[in-house]
Amino acid sequence: MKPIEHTIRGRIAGEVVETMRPFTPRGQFWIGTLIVIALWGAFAYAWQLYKGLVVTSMRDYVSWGTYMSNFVFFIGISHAGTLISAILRVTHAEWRRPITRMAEAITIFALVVGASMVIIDMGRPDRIMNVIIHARLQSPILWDVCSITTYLAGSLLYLYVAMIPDMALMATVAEKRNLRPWRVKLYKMLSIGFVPTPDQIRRLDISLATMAVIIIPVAVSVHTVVSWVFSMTLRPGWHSTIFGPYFVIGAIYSGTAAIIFAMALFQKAYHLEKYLTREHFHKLGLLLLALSIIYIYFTLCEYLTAWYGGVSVEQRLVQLLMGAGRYGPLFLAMALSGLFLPPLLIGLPGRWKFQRLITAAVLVNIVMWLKRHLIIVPTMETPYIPATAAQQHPAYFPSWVELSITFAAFAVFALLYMFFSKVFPILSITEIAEPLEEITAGHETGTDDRTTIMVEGAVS
Amino acid sequence: MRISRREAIKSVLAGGTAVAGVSGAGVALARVGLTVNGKETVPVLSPEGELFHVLREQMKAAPVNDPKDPIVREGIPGRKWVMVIDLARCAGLRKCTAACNAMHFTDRNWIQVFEMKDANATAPYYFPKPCFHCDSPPCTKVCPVGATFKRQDGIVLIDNTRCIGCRFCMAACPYSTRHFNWGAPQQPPEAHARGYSPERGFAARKGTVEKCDFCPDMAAAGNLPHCVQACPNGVIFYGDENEDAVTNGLGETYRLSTLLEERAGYRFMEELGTKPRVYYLPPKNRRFPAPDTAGQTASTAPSPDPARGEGLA
Amino acid sequence: MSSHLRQMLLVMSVGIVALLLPAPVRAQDETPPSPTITITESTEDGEHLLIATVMLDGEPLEGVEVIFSAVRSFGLLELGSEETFDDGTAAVTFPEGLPGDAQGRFDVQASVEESDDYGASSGTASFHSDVSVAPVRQMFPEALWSPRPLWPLVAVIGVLLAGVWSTYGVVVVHLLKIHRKESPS
Repeated sequence: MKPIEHTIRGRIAGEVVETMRPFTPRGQFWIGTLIVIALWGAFAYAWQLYKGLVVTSMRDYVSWGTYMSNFVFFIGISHAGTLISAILRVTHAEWRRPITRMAEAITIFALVVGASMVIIDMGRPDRIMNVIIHARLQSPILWDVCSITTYLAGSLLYLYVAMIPDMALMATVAEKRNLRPWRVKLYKMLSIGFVPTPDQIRRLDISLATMAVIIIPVAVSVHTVVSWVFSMTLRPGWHSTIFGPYFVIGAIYSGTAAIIFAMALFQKAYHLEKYLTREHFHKLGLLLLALSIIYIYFTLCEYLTAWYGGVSVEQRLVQLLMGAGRYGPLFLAMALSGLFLPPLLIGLPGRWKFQRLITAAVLVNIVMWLKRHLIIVPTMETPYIPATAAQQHPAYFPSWVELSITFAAFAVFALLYMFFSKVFPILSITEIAEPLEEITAGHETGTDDRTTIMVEGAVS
Repeated sequence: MRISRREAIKSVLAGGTAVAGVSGAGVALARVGLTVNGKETVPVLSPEGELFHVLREQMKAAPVNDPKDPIVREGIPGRKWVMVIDLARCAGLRKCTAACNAMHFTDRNWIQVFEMKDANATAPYYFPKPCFHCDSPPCTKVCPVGATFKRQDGIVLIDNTRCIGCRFCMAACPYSTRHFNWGAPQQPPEAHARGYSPERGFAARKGTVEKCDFCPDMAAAGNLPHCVQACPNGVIFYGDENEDAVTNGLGETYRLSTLLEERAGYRFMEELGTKPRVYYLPPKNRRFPAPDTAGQTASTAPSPDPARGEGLA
Repeated sequence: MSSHLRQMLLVMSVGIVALLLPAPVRAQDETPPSPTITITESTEDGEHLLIATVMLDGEPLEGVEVIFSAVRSFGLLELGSEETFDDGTAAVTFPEGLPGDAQGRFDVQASVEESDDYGASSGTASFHSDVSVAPVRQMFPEALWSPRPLWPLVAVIGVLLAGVWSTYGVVVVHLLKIHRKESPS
C-alpha cells in the first residue's frame, strides 16, 4: 500500500492540516473581538436575569420581539446542512463533496444558538424542566422541543458518521506529522477503529445513506413546526395556512446564503481555492437564485391575499407594513435588497460574478433576519383589540440588552464554527478523494465534468 | 382541606364591623369607596342577598386552596360561572378597574374599559373587557407546561408556580387580555400575607403571566367579584349558568336566559370560535351619554389609564 | 276585708298597673306584628302556580303586595309580585325550567314590605324543579385545551418520533458493529 502522503486523500489531508494551524495574528484579532462581544452579551443576559425581561423593549403589546426573531433566524440557517449534505447526497450531486462538512457544522451550531434564544426569551428559565415534567403535547412549543431535539440528535449523528473515515485518515496523518498528542488521541477515538475493512465500509455506507434519507423529513418538520408556533394563533399575518412551506423555503434560502458566505470566508482564510472552486459557488448561486424566486412567490401570496381580502385587522397590518406605514420604508428596502436584488445579482450576465454572488449572500442573510422581525413584530403591534388602554402607536425597537445578546449570538456562532474548523477537518477529505481515487485507479465512474475540474491540480 | 362556603363567609365577616345596619340609608351605601369615620369600607354581599359594608382594614381575604390541591385545577363542581356586561349602563367610570387592581394588589388593569366605535357612522360606547374565560381557550391550548388551565366551573386560571414565562398564551389570546410581569412586581406586604394560590391571583411573580380570574375565591365564598361589586351602575352581572341567574353589584338578579333573549345578548368576536363566557348587552336605551370620540375614525380609541390616575370619575 | 273592698282593690290595682304599663299605642320603637307567610305550589286548572298565603294574627291579609323571589347564589331572582286577594293569597306562575340543585330543589322566598299596620316579613319554602344540576366532578374531555390530549395527536407524534429515533438506533448499532470489528485484531 502506498504511504499515506502519496495517496490522493493523504495529500488533501496534508493541505487540510495546514488549515488547522494556530490562528494567525489576524485570526487572533477576530477571535478576540468575537470573544469580547460574546462576553458583553453574557453580561447583558446576566443583567436580564437579575432585573427581569423589563430590560428588553418588549411589553404587553409586543410580547415577542428580537429573541424570537433570532430563534427563527438561527433555526432557519440550520437547514443549510441538510440541504447540501442530505439532499445533494441523495440526488448524487457530485459537486457537494467538499462542502458537506462545513454545511453540517453550520446546522449543529445554528441549532444550539437558536435553541438557546428561546431559553433567553423565557421569563422563568429556572423552571425549564417544567417543559419536560409537565409537558403538554397539544402545545406547538412541545412539538418544537421534540422536533428540534430530534433534528439536533440526527444532525450530530449524521455529522459524526460522515466524519468517521476522515477521523481514521487524520489519525494516521496526525501521527505521521507529529501533531499535538491530543489531536491524535481525539481522532483515534472518534474513528472507532475504522480501518477500513470492506464490512466497515459497507456499514458506513448504509449508515450514511440511512441518515441522509431520514434527516430530510426531520429538517422539513423542524421549520414547519417553528412556523406553527405562530400560525396556530389567531393573529393577523400569522394565522395563515401556508406558513409551513413559507418558513421552510425561507429557511433553506437563508441557509444557502449562510453556506455561501461561510464558504467564501473559509476559502479566503484557509486558501482553499482548489477545493472550493468557482463551480461550487456557481452551483450554489443558482440554488440561491431559484430559492429567491420561490420565496418571492410565497411572500407575494401572503401579502397579496391579506391586502386583497381587506379583513379589517389584516388591513391594519398591511397598512403598517407597506406604503406610508411606519414599517413601510423598511419593508420596501427589505424586499428590494433581499428578495429582488439577489436573483438579479446572480442571474444577470456580466463580470464580477463571484463578488456579486457574495454580496447577494450577505444581503440575503441580513434581510432574512429582518424579514423574520417583520413577520413577528408588526403582527404583535396590530392585535384585534389593544393590550393596554393608554397606548396609541406602540413602537418596538430592541433595547441594548436585546441587541447585545443578538450580536453575542452571532459571535458565539462564529466562534464555535472557527474552533470547529481548527479541531476537525473543515473539508470532507474522504468524500473529495473517493471519486478521484476511483478515476486514477482506472475505474469507470460515470462522474460528470465537475470531477474532472477537481482532478486538475489534485493529481499532479 | 376544602373550604366550604359557610366557613368562608364566616371568616370573611369575622372581625369585620358591619356598618350598614342603618337601614334607612341602605340603598345609598351601595357604593365602593364609602368611608365611615374616615375609614374606607368594602361592600360584601352575603348569600342571602344582603349587602354589608365591611371596614377594609378588617377584611380578611377569603381562604383559598393550595396550588397543589387538585380542586384548584378542577374547579367548584356543578358551577359554570358566567358574566353579562350591560353596555347600556356603562358610563366609563372605571371603578371596576380600580377595585380589581386594588384588591389584587396590581396595577395592570385586568379588566379594562375601552371606548369602542365599531364603524365611522356607528355610535361609540364604553366597553369593559375582562378575561372572557373562553370555553375553547386559545391560551390554554398553547401552554407548553399546563400553567394556564381551564376548570370545569368555566374559569381559566394561571398557576404562577409553574409558568415558565414563554408568553405563548399572550400571543395566542386574540383579546389581548393577558399581562406579563416584565420586572419584579411592586407589591405591598398584604399581598404576601397569605400563601399564593391561582384562585386568588396574588402575589404576582416576576417573569409570569397574570390576568382576570373571575375571582374564584370570592365566588366560592358566595361573594360577587370585586369589579361587579364596585360598579355603581350595576353594569357587570355575574352568576352561575347552571342556576340560570346573574346578579350585579346593586343586587339586581335576572334570569340569564331571559336577559340574553330580551336584551339581545351577544359575545364579542363570536366568529373567532373561542366561545367566550362573557356576554354583552348592546348599548341600546343608554342611561349615560356615549364617550366623546369626535374626530376619531372607527377604531378602538385610546382611553385613559386608571393605573395612572387618568379618567377616574 | 269585705268582698266589696277586695274587689275594689283588685280593680284599682289592675287600673294602676294598666296605667303604669305602656299603653298599647304605636310608639316609635314598638314594632307592629309581622304577618306569617306560607308558600305552596299548585297545579289546579292546568296552571302551575306558586301561591303565598299571608296571615296576620290568624286572619288573612288582603291587598298586600307579595314579592316572590327564587333564591340564587348571589341574590334573589324576582319571579313576580302580586297583591293578595281577600283570602290572603297571591300567586305567580311557577318558574318553569329554573334549575335547582343536585336534587332539583330550589328555595322560593315570598316577602312583604313594612306598612303602617304590619311589619316586614318573609317566608321561604323549597320546591322541586325538573332541571337539576349535579355537582359532579366530571372527567375532562379530550380537547386541545384540556389536560387530556386528543389521542390521534399523541399517536401521530409518538409514531413519528419512534420511527425517527429507531432509525437513529439502527445507525448507532451499525457504528457499534464497525467499532467491534476492530477489537479482535
